[in-house]
Amino acid sequence: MRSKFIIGLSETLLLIGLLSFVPLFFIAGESLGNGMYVANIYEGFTPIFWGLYVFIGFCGIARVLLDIFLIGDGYRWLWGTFLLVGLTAFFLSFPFFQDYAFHGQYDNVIHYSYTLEIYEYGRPYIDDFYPVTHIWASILASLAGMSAQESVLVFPIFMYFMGVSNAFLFAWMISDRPEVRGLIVTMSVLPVFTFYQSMFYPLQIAIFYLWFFAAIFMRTRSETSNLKNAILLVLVLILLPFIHPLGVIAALIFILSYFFLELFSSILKKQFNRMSFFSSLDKIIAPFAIIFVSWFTWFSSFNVFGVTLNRIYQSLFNELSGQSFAMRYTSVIDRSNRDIIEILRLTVFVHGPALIFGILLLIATFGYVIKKAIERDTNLDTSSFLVLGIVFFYGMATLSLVVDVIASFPHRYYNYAIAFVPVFIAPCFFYIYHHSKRIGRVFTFVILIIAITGAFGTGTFNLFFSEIVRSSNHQFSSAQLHGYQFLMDFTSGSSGYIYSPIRQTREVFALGPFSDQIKMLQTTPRWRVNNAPEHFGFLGEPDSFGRRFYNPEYLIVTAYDIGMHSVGPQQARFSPDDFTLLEFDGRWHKVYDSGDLTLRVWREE
Amino acid sequence: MLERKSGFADLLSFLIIFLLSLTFQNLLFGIVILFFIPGYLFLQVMYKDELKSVLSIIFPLSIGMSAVVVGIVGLLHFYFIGERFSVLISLWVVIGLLGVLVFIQRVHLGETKRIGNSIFPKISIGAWGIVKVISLIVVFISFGYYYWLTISQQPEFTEFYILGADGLSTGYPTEVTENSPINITVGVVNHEGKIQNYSIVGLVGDEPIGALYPFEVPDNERREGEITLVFPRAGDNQRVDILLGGDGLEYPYRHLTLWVNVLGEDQESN
Repeated sequence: MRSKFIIGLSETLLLIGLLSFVPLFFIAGESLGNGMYVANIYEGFTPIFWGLYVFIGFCGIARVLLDIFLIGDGYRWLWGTFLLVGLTAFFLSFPFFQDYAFHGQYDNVIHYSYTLEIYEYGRPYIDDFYPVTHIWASILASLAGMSAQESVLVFPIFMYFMGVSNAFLFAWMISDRPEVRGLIVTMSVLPVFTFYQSMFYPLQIAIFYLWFFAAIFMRTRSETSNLKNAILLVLVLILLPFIHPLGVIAALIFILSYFFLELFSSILKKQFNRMSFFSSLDKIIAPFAIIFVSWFTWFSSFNVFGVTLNRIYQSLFNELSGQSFAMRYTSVIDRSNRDIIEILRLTVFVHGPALIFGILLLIATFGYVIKKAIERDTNLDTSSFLVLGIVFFYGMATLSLVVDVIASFPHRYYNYAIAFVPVFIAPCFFYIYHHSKRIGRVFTFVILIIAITGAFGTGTFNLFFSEIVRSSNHQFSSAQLHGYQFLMDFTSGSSGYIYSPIRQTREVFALGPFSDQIKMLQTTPRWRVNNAPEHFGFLGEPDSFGRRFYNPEYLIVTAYDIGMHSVGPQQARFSPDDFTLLEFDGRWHKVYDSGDLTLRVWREE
Repeated sequence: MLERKSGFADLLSFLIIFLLSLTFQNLLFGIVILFFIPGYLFLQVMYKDELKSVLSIIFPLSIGMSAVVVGIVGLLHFYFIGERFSVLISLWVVIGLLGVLVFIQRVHLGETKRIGNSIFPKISIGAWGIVKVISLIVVFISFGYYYWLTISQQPEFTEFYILGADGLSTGYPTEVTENSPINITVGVVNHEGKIQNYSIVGLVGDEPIGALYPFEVPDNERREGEITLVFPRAGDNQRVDILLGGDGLEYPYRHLTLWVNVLGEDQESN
């Protein structure tokens, strides 16, 4: 009777969730913008839309957990997971459906330019050190008959689907239990990877690919492994360095962690000896060597290799080479007048999924170890080895909070950690649940439903930059793109400098293939746009008024600049009033306006 | 209880594809070629008669391996063949070769060991299942509506600019004479998705000093013309607002500014 009720509840949740998509699509259809810059994508939709959105997510999560823990009937959970995947994919498709030119003001444009290089000239740019994602995107453009620009825009959606598929495969290799697989897949498909997931980033694509590598690696460790599996692994390993260097580091740590687990297992079982050590070493030496050699051979041929090594060294052992995340975070907090509620809100939305997964990791590890100790069970789950890699990346993320390690966004490292947290904690929670009494089971179920819904919710609201995380949408609109094209087409031949509130060199890459644009930057240095002086020189000593622009000719102001300085970390340099004052600044003629980009020309006296 | 292979899901997906636009079909075609076919064929070749060992995971395995195959083919093409011909040709050659190998293997293996047709899991549909399928159809149709709304839309905006003496964004007038007309080149690029009527007016303060009567610009076209401005009063640092308006557009739709010193007629003659 109880079981029938739970099955009915589970099916009802699915149906309500599924049918809620209908009003969701209708509201989304009615809320379409006109392709102009929107600083906060979340404000573009009604609260009803977001209410429905979160509700569907909750239905999916509840369905999965009911199916896994209370019904436990094979792959019923797949339906709930599909609900979450469909919802996330729909959200990821917003930049495409909202007519963005690009989703990303910075690196994303560079990746487009690399892709266009292949699309137009049939070869990657010589210094493109992660060409594979650009190759995929350009081939997709050619096959689907779309432009490289459209391909880069839709690519994150298909990479997400590939990630879902790879997570499924990895879960399959890690556990034989459909329920454990379900928990792994469901937590892996959540939108927890911040803006890296919604933009075209090889870093994030490497994470999704890493799941595939991990699955194939686990397959080669199984008893049924054979030469064919080994060939698959070799191919997978060879490709990895061409996707992203950080993916290689993660793979190496993954392999090492596996080695340490084998050692630890043999010690626990009191079977450790020289033979077992070399046997464990033998299993990892080949993949480790292949990936290291292929990475070193490839990456060391680029200048960026030396630059990166030097930067890491400078970051760790000398003075800071850049502004750490904490420094920027503090400046944002300062501007919120250290309002404790605001700081908490910001922390929850900026780091929500990483914090929630971290807490789950602690609970799972603690509970798992206690249970194993009580039951004197020395058999460790295969996934236990992942804890080393997870801790390493959480450590790197924490370090990057205070030190600028290559890129001061801790999410770069968090993302690698939280990609593997589900694989580790799912078997633990499953073990804890089935080795607990009623109260323990209720506790586990409640913890999971709150945590997964929390990760889903906070992840969703940090998938795009917005005021919620004290930033501004990175939408690169068509109107902005046409503004740059205008300046390129109608620019004077002089060498006067181009200024912008946020120094930008990357934006010229939105206009053509990488080799053309880099040549243009070399021949016309002024396209390396300069930072406009703080507050456009409106503040400061009277005698310095108007003298802070050196050899100025053009001033570009985009809707993104204005949005960013209203809420974001750059706010200290400019305030919204500065942009209003600029309208009355007699030093500049305002000669171009596309709605999202204005161009000013220095008034020649 | 109804038992079937995969027919219904396939029928439904094809129905949806045909309902939707050509863009969607192209995209789906690209995705299947990029993220499924190469890997699937590669696995068939690799595992031959042992394909059953990977049958339960053939879909995700094919997707992952496709990315690997396409990535490696792309790298090999670019670094060994280069620009002589398109990477797509290399990809099609590899897919073709894999296809031929699969065909030869199948001929050798005989009819009994064919497994390509059995990759779809058997699904049983009960009462809940039928309700789910109907719900899915409704959801797909509503997505189709959303897709249709968005696909027929394009960014709507207008570019408005003024050019200097050489037809470039430089050399704008900074000094003019009272009551002496000057011509300024103005340009409009219409991206509104329809033929649009525009009008332009030049103002000093609230006083109009020149205008361009309503003119029509077809979608995605550029129009340039000259606006004549006459400054009625002398004075330094006069702000000239050049405003663009248009039918159905909020006014002013675009706003440009020039700053000029206006010399008196007597000053000029001096």
